[in-house]
Amino acid sequence: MKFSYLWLQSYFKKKLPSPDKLAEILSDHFANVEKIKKDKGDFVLDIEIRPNRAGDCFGHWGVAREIAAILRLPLNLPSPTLRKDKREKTGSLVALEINDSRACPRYSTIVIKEVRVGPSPLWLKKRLEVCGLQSINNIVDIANYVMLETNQPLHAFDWEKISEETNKKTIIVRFAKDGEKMTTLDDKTYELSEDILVIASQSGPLAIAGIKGGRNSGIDGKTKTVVLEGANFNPLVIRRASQKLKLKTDASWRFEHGLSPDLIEPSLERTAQLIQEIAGGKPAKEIVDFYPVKRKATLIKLETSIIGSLLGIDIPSKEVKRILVSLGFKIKATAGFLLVETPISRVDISIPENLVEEVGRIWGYKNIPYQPPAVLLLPPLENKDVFWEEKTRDSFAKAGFSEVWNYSFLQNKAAKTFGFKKENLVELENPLDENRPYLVPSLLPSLLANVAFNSKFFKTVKIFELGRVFFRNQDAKLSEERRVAAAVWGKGEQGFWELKGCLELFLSELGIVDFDCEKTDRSDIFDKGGVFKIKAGRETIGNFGKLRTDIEKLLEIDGFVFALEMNFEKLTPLFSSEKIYHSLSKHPPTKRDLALLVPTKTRAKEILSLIESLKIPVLSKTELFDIYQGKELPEEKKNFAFRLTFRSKEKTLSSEEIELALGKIIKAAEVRGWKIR
Amino acid sequence: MAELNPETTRNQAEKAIFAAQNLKDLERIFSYYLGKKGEVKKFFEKLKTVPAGQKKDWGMEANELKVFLEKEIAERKTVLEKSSSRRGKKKFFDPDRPGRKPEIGHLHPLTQAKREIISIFTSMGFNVALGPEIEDEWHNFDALNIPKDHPARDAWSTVWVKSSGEKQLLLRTHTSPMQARYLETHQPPLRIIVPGKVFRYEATDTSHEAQFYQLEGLMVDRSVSAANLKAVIGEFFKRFFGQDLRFRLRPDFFPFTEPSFEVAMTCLACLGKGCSVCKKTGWLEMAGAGMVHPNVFKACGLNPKEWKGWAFGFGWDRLAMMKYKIDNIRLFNSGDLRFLEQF
Repeated sequence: MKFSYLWLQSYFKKKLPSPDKLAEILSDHFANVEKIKKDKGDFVLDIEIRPNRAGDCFGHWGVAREIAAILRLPLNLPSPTLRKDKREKTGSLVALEINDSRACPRYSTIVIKEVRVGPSPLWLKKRLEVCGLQSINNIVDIANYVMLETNQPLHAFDWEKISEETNKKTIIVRFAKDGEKMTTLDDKTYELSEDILVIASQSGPLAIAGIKGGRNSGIDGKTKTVVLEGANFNPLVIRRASQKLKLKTDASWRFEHGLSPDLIEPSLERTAQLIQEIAGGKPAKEIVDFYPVKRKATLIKLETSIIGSLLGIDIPSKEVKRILVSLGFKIKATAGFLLVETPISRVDISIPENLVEEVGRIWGYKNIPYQPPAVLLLPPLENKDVFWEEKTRDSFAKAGFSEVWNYSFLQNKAAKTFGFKKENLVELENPLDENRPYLVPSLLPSLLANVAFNSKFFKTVKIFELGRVFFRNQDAKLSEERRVAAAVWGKGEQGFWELKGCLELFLSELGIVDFDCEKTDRSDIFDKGGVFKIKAGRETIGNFGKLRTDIEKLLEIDGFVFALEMNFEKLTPLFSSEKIYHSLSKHPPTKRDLALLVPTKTRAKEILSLIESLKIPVLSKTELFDIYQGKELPEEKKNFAFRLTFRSKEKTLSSEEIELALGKIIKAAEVRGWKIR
Repeated sequence: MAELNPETTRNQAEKAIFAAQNLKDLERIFSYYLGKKGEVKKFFEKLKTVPAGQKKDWGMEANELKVFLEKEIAERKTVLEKSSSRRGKKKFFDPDRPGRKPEIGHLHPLTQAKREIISIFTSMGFNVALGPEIEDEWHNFDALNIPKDHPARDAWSTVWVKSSGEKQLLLRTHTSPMQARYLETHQPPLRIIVPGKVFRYEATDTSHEAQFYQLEGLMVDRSVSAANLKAVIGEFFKRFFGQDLRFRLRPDFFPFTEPSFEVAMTCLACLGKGCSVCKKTGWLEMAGAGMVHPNVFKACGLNPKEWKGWAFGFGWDRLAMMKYKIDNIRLFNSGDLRFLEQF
C-alpha cells in the first residue's frame, strides 16, 4: 500500500529521517517497506500492511502514529473545527431506515449545502496521485483523501438526485432484491441478489453498500447539496458481495478486513471541514446517526511479567507504558498489572499477547538475546517412517539409481495413456493447469516422462522416486499412499536384470527375505507378456515389468524401459534392520555342482525351495550358475546348473558326509521327475 | 560328469584365457585345453562313437573349437608379452588419466538438505513428524486461527480437492497443520520439525513454485521465549551453512502466532552487500516464525495459560537453494538428471 512521505511529514513539526532511513526504521519496527519511489517532488513508500493492521494502517494516521511511537516524536493530527449552519438540521433533510443492524452496525450522515463542485486544488490532486488514486472532482477527492487519512471509506450522494419530491429524503439500507440492477459510477451494470447489501431510496438502489456508488446519485458539476455517508458494514457481507460481483474497490477492501465503527465521527467531521474549506459548503447542524449498539472500549489486563516470559527480555515498566501510550493506548490502572484500553481504531487488539507484540516490536526485536532453551533432556525418538524412507533411498542410490521428485499433478493425456479410470482419480476443484486436473494415482507416469526427457541427453537412465499418490477406491473413499518406483532405460533386455537386481538388493537390505516375482497378465502399464507381481510373503506389494511398447512409442522413448512400483505402506511393517552375524567357519568348504534336466517351464525357484525344504544342516549355500537350453538336449527340456557349498562349523566334512547330503537332494529331485545329468 | 558340450568348453576356456595374468598361466591353460590329454582332444576321441549322421557336424564343431582356442591363446600371448616387456622398460605411467567411474545413483538435493536439517535438529532434541498432503480445512486453517471468510485467509491461495460428499478437502498450503495434528495427539513438552511438500494456487517463476517444500518447527513447554527461538535458529544457521551468519527478526503477521516474526539472514551470494539474489537489500527472507497463538492451544485442547511455545516455517527449498547456489526453484521438480547428477 502506498504512502506519501510528505503527507506523513505533515503530522510532525520535527523533520523526519530521510525516506530510505524511515523505510528501514518502519521495516524494523512495524511492517516491511517494499519500495521507495520518487514521485512529483514527493516519495512514495510502498508498505506491506499485514491484514491485522487493516483496521488502522490502511490510512496515513495509523502509520504516522507508528512513526511517532518508534521515533518518540509528538504527533499532531488535525482536529477539525466545523462552522456549522445553525439554522439547518441534517435531520430535517434526510431520514434513515435501516432494519438489519448486523449487516450495518452504524450509518451516519451529514448534509452539506451550497457546495461548489469543481477541480481539486493542486496539493490535493498530487497527494491522491502519489497514492495511486485519480482526481475526479473536489467533493469526491476530499472523500477519498480522508479515507487515505483516517482509513474510513466515505461516500457522497447528490441530495437532489435521491428521488423523492419531498424536502426530506429517506436513505434505506437493505438487501437487494433478486434481479435488481444497478449501474455504478463507472457505467457498469451489475445484477444484484438477495445477499448483496444496497443503499437505496424509495425508488431503487443508490449504491452497492461498502463497495461502489451508483451513477444515478453521483456528484456532478451541478450538485449543490451533498449527503455524506460514513458507514460501517459487516465485513463478511461486503466480502461475499465483492467476490460475487467480482468487484474489489478501495472501500470494499477496507470493509472486508473489519473497521471500527468509531472511526466514522472524526472522519465525517474531517470531510465536512475540508469541503467547507475547499468547496465552500455549509454543513448542517448535526450528524444523523444510526448506531444502536455502541462499541465498548476493549480493556485488557496485562501482567507485565508475560512480556519478559514470551520475549525473553525485560523491558522497564516505564518503557512499556510509554510505548503503549504513544501508540494510542490508555493505561486505566496500574496494580501489579496494567489495565489497558485499546484505541478506537485498533480492532486487532484483544488479548495480552497482542500487547506483548506492540511493546516488543517498538522496543526492537533486535534487542532479544540468544538464549538456548533450558528444558528436560528428552532424547528424540527416531521416526521410523523417516528412517525407512531414507534407508530405501540409500538402497536405490547404491544400486546406481538417481532420485527424482515430481509434481503431484496428473495430465489428462497421461490418465488416458495409462488407463486410469476417472472414478479412481482425485480431481481438483481449481487445478493450476487445466491439462493437469488430477492428483497422481501412481508415480510411474511422471517417472517415465523423466526417462523420456533424460533419454535425449544420456545413454542410460536409472531413476527412482519415493513419494505420495492419491486415489479413490470403490466407495469413492480418498486414499493417500506412499509408493516407491524405479525405472531403467538404455540397457536393452539386460535392463530387466538390473532392475531385478536392484529390487533384490533393496529388499534384502531392508530385511525382507521372503519375496517372490509372480507372473500376472493384469496391467495397463506393462506388457502383458512381461509383468510380474512382487510378493513379500503372501502380500502383493507391487508390480514389475516391461513398459508397454505402445507407451514407449507414445513417450518417444527409443528402446526397452523396465519399471517397478511398490506400495510403501505395505512394505513398512515388513522391514527389519536386524542383522545377525554368522560366524566364519575354520573348516574348509566343499563345492559340488549339480546339473538337473527339467521341463522348460520349471522355475529355478521350485528347485531352490525343494532343496531348502530338505533342511540339510551342512549345506551352506545353493547358487544357480547356469541355465542351458540347446539342441542336444531333449525337446521341452532345459538344464539347470547349481553350485552347492557344503560346510560345517564343527569339523571338516568327509566325502561320505557330502555324498550322503547330495544323495538326499538327488533323491528328492528324482521323485519330482527331474533328471540328474 | 556332464556330457561334452563344445559351447560350454569354449565359454570356460575363453574366460580362463582372459583371466590369465602371465605367460605361465597361459601355458597351463594351453596344456589343459590343447595338450595331449587336453579337453579338445576328448572331442576328437568322441568322434569315433558319434552316430554316422552327426559325424560331420561334430567334427566341424571340434575343429572350430580347436582353431578358436589356438587363436585366442596366441592373441593373449602377444598381449602378455607386450605388457611384460613394457614393465621391463618402465614405461611412463600417467596417473592423471581419469579413473574408471563407478555407476552410482544420486540423491535429490532436497533429500540431502533434509538429512542435514534432521540431524541438526535431532541433536537439539527435536523429533521428526510427517503429515498428510491432502488436508481438511480445520487443520489447515480453522485450528490455526485463520477464520473462514476472512481476508487473512487470502494469503494462502488454495488448491481445492473436488468433493465427493466428504468434508471439504484441500492440498495443504503449508506444513503448519502438523502443529495442530501433533498438539492434538501429543502431550507437551515437545519439540518437533516437519519437512513436507506444500501447494499454492500461484503462478510460478524462478523463485516461486506452486508445489514447494517447507520445514515446520514447533517447540512447546511451560516456559519458552522468543530468545529461545532466536538461539535455536542461530544454531541451525551456523551448522547448516557452516558459518556464523547474521540474521534478524522483524515484525510480521501470522494468525497462528503472536507475536510474529519474519526471519531474514544475510544474503550468502553477496554477504550482505546487495545483489540481484537479495534484490539489493543484502537480506534474504528465510522463514516466518512466532510465539504460538493462545487460540491454537485452545483449538488443540491445551490450556494456553499452562503452555507456551514457538513455531517457525522455513522454505526447505530456499535453504537448499542458498546452500547449493541453485538459481531456479523449478529445477527441484524437473526430474532433469543434468541437474540431479551434480549432487
